[in-house]
Amino acid sequence: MKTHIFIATTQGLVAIQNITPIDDEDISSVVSVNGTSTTANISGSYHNFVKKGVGIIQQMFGACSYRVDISARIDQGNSWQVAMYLGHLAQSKGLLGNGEVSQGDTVICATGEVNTTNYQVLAVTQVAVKFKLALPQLEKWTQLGAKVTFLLPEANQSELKNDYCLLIKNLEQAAATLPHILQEQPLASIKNKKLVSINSRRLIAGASTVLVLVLFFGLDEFTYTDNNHQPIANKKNASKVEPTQKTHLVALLKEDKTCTQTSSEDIPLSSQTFAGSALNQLCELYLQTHKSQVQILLVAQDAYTVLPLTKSPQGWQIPLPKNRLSDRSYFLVSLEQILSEEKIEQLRLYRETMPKPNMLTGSSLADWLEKQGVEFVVYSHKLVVE
Amino acid sequence: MPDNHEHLKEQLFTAKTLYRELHQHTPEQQELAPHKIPKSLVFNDLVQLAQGHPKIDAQPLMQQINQSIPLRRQYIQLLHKVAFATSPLQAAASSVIEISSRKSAEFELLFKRDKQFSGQVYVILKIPHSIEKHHNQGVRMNCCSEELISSIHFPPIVDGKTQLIMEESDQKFINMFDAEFAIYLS
Repeated sequence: MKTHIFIATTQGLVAIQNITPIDDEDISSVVSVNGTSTTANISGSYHNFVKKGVGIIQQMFGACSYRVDISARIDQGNSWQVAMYLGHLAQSKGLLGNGEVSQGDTVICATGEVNTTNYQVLAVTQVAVKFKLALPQLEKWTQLGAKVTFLLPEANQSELKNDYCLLIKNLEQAAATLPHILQEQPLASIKNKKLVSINSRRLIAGASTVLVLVLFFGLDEFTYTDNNHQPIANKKNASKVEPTQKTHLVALLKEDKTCTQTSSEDIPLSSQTFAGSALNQLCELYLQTHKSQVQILLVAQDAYTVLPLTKSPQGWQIPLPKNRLSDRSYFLVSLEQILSEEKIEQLRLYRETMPKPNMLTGSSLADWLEKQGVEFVVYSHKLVVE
Repeated sequence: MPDNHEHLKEQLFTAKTLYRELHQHTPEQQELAPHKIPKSLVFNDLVQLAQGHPKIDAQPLMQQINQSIPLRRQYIQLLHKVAFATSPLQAAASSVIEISSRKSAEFELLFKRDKQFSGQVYVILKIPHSIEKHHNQGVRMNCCSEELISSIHFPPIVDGKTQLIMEESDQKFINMFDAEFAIYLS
């Protein structure tokens, strides 16, 4: 069962076929037509809609640039913004269809501009024309057995009344029309989610760079602190960690302008916080732990990413961010038991109930982990732009 | 006489010469049937194209320019005069080596392959100190060899750069990163 998102335009419905994170600071976000090299004229506006500080997509979904494929050209206006937001939300949840509707699918057609400061949906023009052009397809899909909704701004309510229509005044209400959210999340919790993507797995690059985990097997207890960048260790519910070996965060640093020749550096650890690392020098980053540590989770502090790390012969590899324009902070959670996929998904959901990603503190992360009854140590690390 | 007078005289001479050549049919053109002789091309078309006017329908003009050596010479002379930035032919120790970027004091041109759609590339043009026209009208790029000129329009500059998605097999893309082609931006 897929959710198909359509942009209502004055030339008819335009399907959002695919959204792909590019997450390369050199490449601007782009809207292309039918997967071809033809770009829509709204590409520049979409780039701004994504860009952090101006738009909302990067802030909500992580990557600094995206490619969106749509079924037909859109040349002007901003009424595509609500649908584009919904497309990103559906894509992040793995729900986004390609515009080819089947029985049982959900179809959401939308028109509306977004106030990127307060997430209110602004009125647009020619709503009646857009709906009139869309109506034959809405009826066809309904007959096919799809659930069909046409979203329009509340401010346009006087212009259109129809059973397909649903008035929205902000993105929160728009997000609530996605089937998955309604089933899994009560509306009250959606309110606090700020419409952020539930699944951040594809936002790895946008998320952070991450870190390092190191375990002090030699300590019986860890110090707890409220500081965001301070490491948090297991407290009352956590088992003691064997005080045998340290965990190391090893950075491979450039020796010249490229990463063809590197030197290895052990990053100093103090109170479960690794010293900051200069992003422009980093080629690779590994966390080396005692063999008793079977899983390392990277939890970004400046994005909603929760990422289980992969172990290689050199250690747990920490993916470095492609976007190296700003400092990146993250926590590393070292675990003696593997956290199930379900639990990791719950951690993501817990993260996304926070209106802003940087509201995660070491203590709140430790509190959540304690409730899971697992043994853990939390480390923090920061990648610094110099 | 001040230097600028000499400069003005040179410009007038060039303009007159170009105008004359434009209105005298070349031997190649004279061999064509009368109905095939381009009638619509005026000198101002070349100027508009060289200056990067976005409303100009570049394709038919470029077709005519590429079919005529005098026109091509005139057009390149114009580009020399009006271009915002240039990148000359690239000196390479081996012609086999592909270049993946071109850089000058005024701009950087590079490409990156799309990971999802094989055969498509993002062509990125960075102009750190662009002029107002680039933000409103976009950027015209001309790639010139001795035998061919290709022209392509980039969208308006945003955040110091502009980009296109192109097919890797597109001749215009190939020309951009061919060491045998000089680049003119306007």
